[in-house]
Amino acid sequence: MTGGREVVVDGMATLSEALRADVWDKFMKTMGAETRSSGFTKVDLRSAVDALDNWFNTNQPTTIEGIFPTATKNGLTDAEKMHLLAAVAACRADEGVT
Amino acid sequence: MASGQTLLVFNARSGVPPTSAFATLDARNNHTVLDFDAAVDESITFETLLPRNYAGGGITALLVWAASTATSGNVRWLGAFERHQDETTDLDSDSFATAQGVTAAAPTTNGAPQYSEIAFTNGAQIDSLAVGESLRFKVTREATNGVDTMVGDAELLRVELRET
Repeated sequence: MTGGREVVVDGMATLSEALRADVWDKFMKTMGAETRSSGFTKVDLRSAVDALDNWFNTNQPTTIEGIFPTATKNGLTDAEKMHLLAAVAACRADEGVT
Repeated sequence: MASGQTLLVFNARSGVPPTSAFATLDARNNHTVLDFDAAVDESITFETLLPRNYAGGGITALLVWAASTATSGNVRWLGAFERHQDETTDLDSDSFATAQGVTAAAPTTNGAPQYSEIAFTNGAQIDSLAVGESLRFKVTREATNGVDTMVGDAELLRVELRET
């Protein structure tokens, strides 16, 4: 997954097809472990992965960057900002704040 | 033996994994299942002997499976026989007959089992198996086939081989 980290640090690119497929596969495995019902197909889920990655690619330079207060905007790397965003999103999901 | 009679039944725990890309054992509410991935083709084999009451007809494989998470989409299942002929078959290499398949819809209720059948005609499709011969039966989820659209794992619970 080091390739994925490099792409995120660069900020202005989408994940490779292989990395998107890896995200897709791992998410399906996570869903299986949690035995959550789903009424959609593999293609639908892969489209969601692609859409989210595209959204990050479009919005990271402006929308996401604009969220951060000045100190952390300047003090965190792009990768650290994305990790912080992911941590907040994961916590919200875990707590059911959606 | 009359048509439609059970020849063999395999449970998940009797599966033997190939050297790579194999289905993995899992439990669902204490039911032992074999998980087949949604992104990679995975297989499992069952080793046995064709019973003496086999009468020489075709063989139908019944797969009892459930979806790990999905309530829609299709799974592409393949089945293949490998005959171990007396003083002939080289066990050092695989020699499965051409796989036969079925595309089966996920149960609309998650957790419910689905019963899917693959029919094999007598002869080449069962690798020309004869009564009393050793054999392997391989089950594969062909996840990379475009018709396999079901998200998440397919959980194989049991396999029945019966005379068609």
